[in-house]
Amino acid sequence: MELRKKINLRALQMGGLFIALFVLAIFPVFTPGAKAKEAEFLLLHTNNVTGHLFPCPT
Amino acid sequence: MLGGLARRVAFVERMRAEGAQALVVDSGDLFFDSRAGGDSNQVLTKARLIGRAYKRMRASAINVGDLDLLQGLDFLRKETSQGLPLISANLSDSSSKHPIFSPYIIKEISGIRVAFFGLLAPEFRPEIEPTIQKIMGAKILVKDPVEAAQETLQKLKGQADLVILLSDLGLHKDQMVAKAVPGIHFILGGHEGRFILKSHRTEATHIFQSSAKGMYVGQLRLTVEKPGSSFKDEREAQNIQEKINNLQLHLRSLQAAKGRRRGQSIEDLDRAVQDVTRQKNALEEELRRAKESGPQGNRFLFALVPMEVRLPEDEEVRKWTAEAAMDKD
Repeated sequence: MELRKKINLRALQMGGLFIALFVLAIFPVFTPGAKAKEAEFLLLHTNNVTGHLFPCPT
Repeated sequence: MLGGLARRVAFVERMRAEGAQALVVDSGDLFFDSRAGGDSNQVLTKARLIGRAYKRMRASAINVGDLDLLQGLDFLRKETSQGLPLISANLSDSSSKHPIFSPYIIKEISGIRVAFFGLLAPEFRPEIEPTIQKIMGAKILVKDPVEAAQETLQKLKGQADLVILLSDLGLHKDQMVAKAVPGIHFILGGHEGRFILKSHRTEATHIFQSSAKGMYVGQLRLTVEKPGSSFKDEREAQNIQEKINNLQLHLRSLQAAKGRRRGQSIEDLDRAVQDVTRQKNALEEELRRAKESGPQGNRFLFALVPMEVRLPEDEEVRKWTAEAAMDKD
């Protein structure tokens, strides 16, 4: 009887752990002050090159 | 002396080697100048070199400008078939009405989907109009830029986080498009080859040009926190402060003018002082808000990087240029 109680308790604990893991997996955890993910990149742009291969006097 | 194709390629390679995530784009009038309608051998050799160099830079999108049409469509089509990403959303075949080049290109960088679309002006420059008429005849149709932009934005819905117009329209028409077509984050313009250090803002669209003849590379650094949202200039507070300083100088000169008008009416000057003071107060409020909001949200920093002759050149491009026996423009 005692053994059965222990097994039930153990099963409940395991179930609780799985539920907690499941909830954590599907709902993102927000921490106060957490910064949004940033993406940074460059656009390198030219216009009116007009066939120039060599430097130009400015 | 500024510029040079081999130097530009080396600059792009260096930026990437230093770890920058970078997309290379051009707004048009890349291959030819307005005199390029005549003897085509040399101009085509130069144009092929430029196409090869932009492929070497792994250019993401190149808009077709009116000057690019000066040697006909065959050259441009061949470059496209060889992997040069030429685009135009308003240049169509007049009989089929289909676009001649891809209207837009979407690139993904740092997890952000960036759409580039291209436009050119329906009216060609007077000095090239006869040549284009002679070469193209009635083969091409240039659609109204605003209509083409509206159609393109409609097609891009849900496909891109950032929409960029590569424009060969000129600043005035860029502003018209920006006003009529919401949803364009940036217009990287051209046609006039203006030297623009601060963005011309129309509604939520920021407009730039990067000078001409390859003397500068426009470097637009984008930080994206909220994909899809509009951008603000990282130097916004600095720019507002500069405007306030100018108004303060103006106020001082108005006060001095009042002092010089002894015994005469100063009503006009009083009105001017009131007007300038009102503008200054509004800007001070804007500055306070800009400082409060700080460096958050989507933001950009634009710079024109001069291609100084002391900068290194790409050896491969130098070799191609020498092999083509090109030693001057």
